[in-house]
Amino acid sequence: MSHSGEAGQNENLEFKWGQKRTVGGKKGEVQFYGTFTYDGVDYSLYDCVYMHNEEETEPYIGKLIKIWETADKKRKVKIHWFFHSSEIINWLGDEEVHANEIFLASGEGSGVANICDLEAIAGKCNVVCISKDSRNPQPSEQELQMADYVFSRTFDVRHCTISDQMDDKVGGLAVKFLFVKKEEPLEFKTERTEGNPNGLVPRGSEDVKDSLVGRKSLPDVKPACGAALATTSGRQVSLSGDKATTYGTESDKNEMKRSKLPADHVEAEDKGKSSQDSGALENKASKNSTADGSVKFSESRNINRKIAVNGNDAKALVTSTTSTEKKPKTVPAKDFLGSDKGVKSAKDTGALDDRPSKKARVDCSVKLSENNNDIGGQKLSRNSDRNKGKELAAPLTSGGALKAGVSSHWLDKDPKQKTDEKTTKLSNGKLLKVSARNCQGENRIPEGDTSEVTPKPADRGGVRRLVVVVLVVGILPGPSMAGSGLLNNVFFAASFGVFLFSGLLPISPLWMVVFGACWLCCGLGAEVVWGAAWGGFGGCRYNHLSSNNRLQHLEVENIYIPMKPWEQRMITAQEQGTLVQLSNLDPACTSKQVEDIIWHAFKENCTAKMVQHTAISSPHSASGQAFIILKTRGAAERIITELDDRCLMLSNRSPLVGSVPPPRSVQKKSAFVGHLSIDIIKHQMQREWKEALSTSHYSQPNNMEYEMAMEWCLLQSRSKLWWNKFYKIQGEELRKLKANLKLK
Amino acid sequence: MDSAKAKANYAAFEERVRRTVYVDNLSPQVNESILKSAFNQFGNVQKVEFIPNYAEESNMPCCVLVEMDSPELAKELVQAMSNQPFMVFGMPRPVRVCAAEMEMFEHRPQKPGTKITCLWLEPQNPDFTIAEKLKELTRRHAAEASFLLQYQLEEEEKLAKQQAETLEANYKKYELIEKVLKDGTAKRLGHRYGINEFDA
Repeated sequence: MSHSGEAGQNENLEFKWGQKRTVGGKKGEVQFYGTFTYDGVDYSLYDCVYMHNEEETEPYIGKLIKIWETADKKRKVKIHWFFHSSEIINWLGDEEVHANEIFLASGEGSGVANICDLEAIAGKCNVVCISKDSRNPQPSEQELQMADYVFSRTFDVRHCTISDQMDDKVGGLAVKFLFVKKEEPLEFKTERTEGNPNGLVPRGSEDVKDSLVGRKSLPDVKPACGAALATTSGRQVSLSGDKATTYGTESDKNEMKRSKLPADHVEAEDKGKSSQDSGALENKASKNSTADGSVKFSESRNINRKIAVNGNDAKALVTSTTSTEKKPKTVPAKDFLGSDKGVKSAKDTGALDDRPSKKARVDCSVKLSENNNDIGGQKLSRNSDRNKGKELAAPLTSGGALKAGVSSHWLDKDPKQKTDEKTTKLSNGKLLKVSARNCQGENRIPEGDTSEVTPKPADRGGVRRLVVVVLVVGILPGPSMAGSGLLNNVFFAASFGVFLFSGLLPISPLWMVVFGACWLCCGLGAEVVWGAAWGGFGGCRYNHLSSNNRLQHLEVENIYIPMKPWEQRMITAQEQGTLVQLSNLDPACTSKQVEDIIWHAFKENCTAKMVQHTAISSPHSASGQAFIILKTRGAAERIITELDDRCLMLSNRSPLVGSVPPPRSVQKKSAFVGHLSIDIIKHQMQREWKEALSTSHYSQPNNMEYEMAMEWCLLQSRSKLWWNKFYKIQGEELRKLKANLKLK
Repeated sequence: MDSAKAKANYAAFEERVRRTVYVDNLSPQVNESILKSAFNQFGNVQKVEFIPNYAEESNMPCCVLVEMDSPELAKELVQAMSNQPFMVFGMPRPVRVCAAEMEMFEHRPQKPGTKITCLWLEPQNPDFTIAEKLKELTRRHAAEASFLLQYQLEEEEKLAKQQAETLEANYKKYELIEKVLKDGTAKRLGHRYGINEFDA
């Protein structure tokens, strides 16, 4: 891309050749130079310069790699380009970019370097190489502060990739000319090295002023431009404030004045500028025609820039809506709607200005949120917390191993106990009751005991089944022996079948009592009908209430039977009062583990389901939530009250909290906001609409839909920010409290 | 499950997680086939899993886990959709896409090597009071979170309403213009004032 040669023709800026180098060309008519002075600024080979830019207001940055004068007295320079991050945003992806980072063009292609008229140079630029390459001496703090831009990465124009490797020749430019060179003799005549801000300091004040003037010669930036330029300018302003010793020019005074005020007030002060300034500003704001671009530019060179500083802390973000993607750009469409790039024409209305700035903000906040995402993502990986929890768990368990061993052994013994008791005292329903009560009463873990939550005895189902069968077999002869005749026996056989069927599934002790009673009745010769009724009734109620048990058992047995969906069961459970919501769990817990915890702590069977995280869930180590459905309302209430009164600490150093979940409205299709349609058209295109709705697409930036989508994106990123901040605060509170826990 | 198998299981799960993207801000009318066709534009979709919403208000937009073929594809998707708004099933609210996390999945295998412990604290234990405070804090946090969620929903509603109004107003304007052009009013007015561009 070459800049127009018109730059500088309307006004003859002061120019002087400096040091001569070789002679070239076919007839030796081309004279190469090493240094020159242009409009009061000294340039030398390998300096970084700002280049004029017709449409955009953000200047290009390039490195002078060749300077010469042709036979017909035309002055030319060859520029090796740097890219702003905004120009390569499409290929940046998720990479993090410094506020004033630029990228060196590399590779082969037309975007790497160009020959331009010397007059297209707009000023000098201080670019510091911060590449971690071993050949590059790292810049000092001072150098970094004084730098306009930094670069450490290259952008390959052919492959459109970014890399931080520096080959020996980057795009044809020997790499030593890229790196920071340390001090060398600083006379103007000698070849100055690039990116050497130290060189500025020992020079005379005049040189300093020159370089600063050069730096000031940045064109005005539209308010919509990203914060990057704002920060660089802010820094420049403060810098010039520092060096404000020998300045006498008015513009310098202005700059000094400005540097005294905080950046936020820059805008206000801009209004109070001299009329010359505002005049030039208006010029700038009006259509930037190429012809007088340079004229105005040179006028405004000494004028302070109008900076719009975004109030929020968008320092880390480099987006600019004003520059386009590639160097060989086409004139951006000056569309009214949704033109997020290149909206700088004179048709700019205030509203349009807002829109690009909104885009900038969107990009800013999106980028910020992406950054935050990264941070959040690290938080979410939650390594330290969980690991700590695991480590903590280990000594705990080993310490309490003895007791745990005892209690778990106890647990194992119990079912066997039950079996023994039942086989010996089968015909006596009352004894069944006794043993049932024993089971419930004795299996409490003594307080103060840490016990590892082992999985519930997985074969309990099988054991129970055995119990039931034995029971049935045992009881059957009893009543029939005591009782009547064939009819009863037939009935018994039938009920026996029922029992067997239900015996396939685990039965709680309570129901064994019921069945036992039923058998007793029958056995003692009560009405056959009564017995059948009991049996049937028992069977039905059992089915109803033990459906969750069925779920567990079936999981264990790997039998697939379609079950009621969880949500349905939750709703029923809520109505019955058997639903409990647990919080403060470890999010990495699985549902099975939750069930184990409940079994371990309360000896209650339940089905649990961990609540799945969404994008707005808390990232903390105790943000796991689960719903459990218990068998009885009493059990649910007991658990809640116990968790409330006492304190069950989990391995994530948080006490388990149980609560009754609030009643949920059972709306199936919830209202969804945000999808708009025009009603009239909708009626007209009913059929087509259905098909149209099912297409999904990227929104293109040429219509109203895009703009609205952008507003949504903005809202989404804002909401992401809220949540992040919110959880951060919560995390702090949690941390503070937990720090006092002695439990280690 | 022996530990080697558990580890393998877990590793396979992790791999699945990497391949999956989490999609948010979906209309509740969206179903699996719509999502599949939407994401098939980018690559093969292996599975679509809806994340049910039990704990929160039922007014929240739906979320979904879409499992793709490869983690690179998933990452690409996330990046692309973060930069450009992607519409599914309706305009103009775009979906929000981010990388999936393990906790989002319904059936997670247990992390191998982890143990859960629980311990009943005695009231004399000095940690007891702290634990009580923690419990209270948890409750408060939950309330705050649901409040924030409410707020977010309100904001979304506001935006949607505002956009709807703008859209309607604009549409009316366009309609008006079109009508005027179509029925010749523009032409006649133009003649009256000497502007002849409407002769078409």
